[in-house]
Amino acid sequence: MKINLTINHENREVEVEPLERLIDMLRNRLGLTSVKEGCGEGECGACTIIVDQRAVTSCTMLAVQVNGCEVLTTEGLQQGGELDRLQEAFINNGAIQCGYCTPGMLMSVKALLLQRPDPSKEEVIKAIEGNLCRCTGYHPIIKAVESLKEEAVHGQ
Amino acid sequence: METIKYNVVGQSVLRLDGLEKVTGTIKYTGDYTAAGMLYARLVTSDQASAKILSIDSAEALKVPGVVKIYTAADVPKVLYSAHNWLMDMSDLEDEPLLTMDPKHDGDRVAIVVAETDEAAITAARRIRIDYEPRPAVIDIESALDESTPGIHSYGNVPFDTVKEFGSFDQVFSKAPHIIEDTVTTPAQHHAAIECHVCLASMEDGVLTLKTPCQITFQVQMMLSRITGLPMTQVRIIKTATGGSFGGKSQPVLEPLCGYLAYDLKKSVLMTMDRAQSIVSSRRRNSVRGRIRLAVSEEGKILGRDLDVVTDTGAYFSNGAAVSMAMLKKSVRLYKMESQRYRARAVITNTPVGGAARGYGSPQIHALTEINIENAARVLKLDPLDFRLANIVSGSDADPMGGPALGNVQIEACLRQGAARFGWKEKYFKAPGSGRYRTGVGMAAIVHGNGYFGGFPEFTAIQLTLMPDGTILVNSALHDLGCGTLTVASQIISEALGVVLEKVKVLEADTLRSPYDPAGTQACRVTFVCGEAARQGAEQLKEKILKRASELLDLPMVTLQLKDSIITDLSGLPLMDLPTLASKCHRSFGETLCVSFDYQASANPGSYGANFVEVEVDTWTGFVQVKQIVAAHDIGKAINPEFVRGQIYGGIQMNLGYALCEEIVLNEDGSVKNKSFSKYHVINAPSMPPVEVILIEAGEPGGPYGAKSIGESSSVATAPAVINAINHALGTRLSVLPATPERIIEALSDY
Repeated sequence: MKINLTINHENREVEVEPLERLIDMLRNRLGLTSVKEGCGEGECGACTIIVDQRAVTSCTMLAVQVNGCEVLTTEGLQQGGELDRLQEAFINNGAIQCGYCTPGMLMSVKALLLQRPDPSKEEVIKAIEGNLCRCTGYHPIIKAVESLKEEAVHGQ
Repeated sequence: METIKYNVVGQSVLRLDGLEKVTGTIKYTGDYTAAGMLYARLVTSDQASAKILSIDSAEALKVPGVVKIYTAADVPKVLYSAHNWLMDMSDLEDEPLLTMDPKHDGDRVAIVVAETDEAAITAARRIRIDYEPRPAVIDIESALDESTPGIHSYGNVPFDTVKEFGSFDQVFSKAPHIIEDTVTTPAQHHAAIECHVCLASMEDGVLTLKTPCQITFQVQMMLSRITGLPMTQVRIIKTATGGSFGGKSQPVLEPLCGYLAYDLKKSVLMTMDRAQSIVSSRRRNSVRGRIRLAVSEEGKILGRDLDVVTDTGAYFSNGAAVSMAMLKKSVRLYKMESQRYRARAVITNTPVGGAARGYGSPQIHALTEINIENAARVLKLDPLDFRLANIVSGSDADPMGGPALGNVQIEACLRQGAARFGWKEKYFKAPGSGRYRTGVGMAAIVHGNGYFGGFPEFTAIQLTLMPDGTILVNSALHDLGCGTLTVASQIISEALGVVLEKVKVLEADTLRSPYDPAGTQACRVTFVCGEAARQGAEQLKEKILKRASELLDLPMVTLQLKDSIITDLSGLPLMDLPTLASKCHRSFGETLCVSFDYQASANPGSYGANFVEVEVDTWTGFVQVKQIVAAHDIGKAINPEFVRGQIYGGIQMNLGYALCEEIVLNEDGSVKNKSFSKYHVINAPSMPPVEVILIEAGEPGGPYGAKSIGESSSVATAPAVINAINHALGTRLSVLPATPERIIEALSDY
């Protein structure tokens, strides 16, 4: 069956199976391999993407559920060849080690920032509570998001 | 240590692969595709101990796209040890590729190969296995019982040794105080977010594997044995790793996936799901240890009696190695006249033990540091003072004849950590008597720096000045995500005088890299491989300056290489590297390169201490960790932010070990929690504030004085947390993890 969606700012029609998982459609049909599988049950957050402004785990959704939706993956964060400020902040604050959880982390935080451009530290922590990271101990990730606030204060 | 001004060493330069990772463009093994690629999925036993009477693949074979189903009859009948990484290592070889005689929940029974991953998964579910169940041996007590039938022909206790120094009986017979504890540590899942995965193919007669492993040359050796191909026709390429923590150190999927590609002459991508990563890969060896500490009236440690039993799971794996690793760590932290260490490794019908970050350190230090703190409490001594009075210094020798302890900074770790934490005030504050009680605990630890003193410890590195002035560095490094390649580049940039961006360090590829069988494990990377890189770079600099001196007709001592430019001592530019490279080609017919073999000659301790404050809810047993101070003796931080990153991550892993992480068995030996919804790792809201103190006193033998941190960072938190809980509650809890149930139980005992 065919579904229509906006994927990373582009309209697409995609042929999918009725029971196809969203993560499989993104990775296998659209080549969006930033979307990672770590548990297959929505517990680790590595497959997190943004659907209609909200962070969701794509391993627990079917492809057909995004028919008519606006979908964003890490591949779509860059605009006009420029990194999103959040991506810059991750690089600059040691928020990345092995990098496997990174795309999902970015998506969870990005979804928060879309709703709340100036979140509190507690809101940042809450936003990534469903994203497991075994490398960083989370602090550098939280610091990366906090650094955006400092940038804003300093008018950068 | 004198303060030396470095160019890039000591700078938190950004990781070289940050851009690829933050844009999602970096390719992990599962992101590769190849023309005609097939997909393989494992079928594993759901029985802890059984004989398979029959396997019915009929329904599975009907799934469209299924290519072949392998069972034990279809693969070579080899028994191997996933631990041995050198040709002449002889630890017990007892692990088959596939089995008809499953020995644990998750043991490998069959493989489905199909044209799509979905077909492989669907078919794997349709395979019907008829088991004849056998009684399962699931705990240490049963394994030790001589009347229990052996899981293997060699019995259930394949390793039993006693190592001792000093006059043990004399020390214990006269000791005024003997403080005894029995501590149990859990089977921990590594929980790399990337599950195990491997891609194998046959390319022009060469079996080629892409794998996020830690020891490419070990994988090459194993596949050469399994397929009969010479090692020169087995190419193992290390791919980007989505976390390992020791879990991808022993080959698990590689022998199977490699054989499939060899047999089918096709590319095969083999993937585990999370459940299989938990039960069918490796897990941290669980340990039960009895500790008896002999202490004088003055609070001096006289001796220690350790009786440690390691549950290594259904195959022998590293049962002996981890037992000996624990011994090594038990004698390099406190001074004492005598220690007896009895170590036994037992086989059980449980998931297989193996390398895990810390390699015995989290286990042995949980045992000894909980006991040390309890001893201080019994003797009414401040645990800090008790430790300070008994710790080793650099002038002490390893009592078992091991390598020199090096520039030991445990006293600085303890003193600076305690001061920052406010230990004295907090320790002597009452825990409260209401529902919520607060307590503090601490722990001191030591870990190693490579294999020197235990196994061959050598590596090699090749550096070439390319015509454009870049430096191509070939070595067998494996970056597991810690930033290994960035750190190596920093060291080379510093030693050579070449700008960081011009240094390109390659990762391990067994057909191209210089042979290094030890891989990236045992905390050898910065200390051993980093020093090899530094010395190799110094040699290349020497060659560059010598040729520059000849070409410029200037004495070599008047030249220097800085920021990729050859200058005089005042900094006046004389020649750039592309010009030098071209002139060397024309004038000398020479490429400037170095091939450097390095052998380590030291293996000092990396010391550390954690201080932890907890609040325990006595109604629910829930523990909230309020604060952690981590002080680490790291010699010199090549990249301070990476070092702190290791410490935060190490604490996250060891905190889970203390509070919630444990592979739990049902009575029949099947695993209860094969998923992240049931196996809990610490998430962001549960991660406490962490303050890091780096003691940088320089370590001779390490590059710029650096030593290891990746493993030593993941050890001290757990015993410190348990000690803090016991301090808060007045309990003597000694079973990890301290789950709410266990805390409530411990409270009811007091």
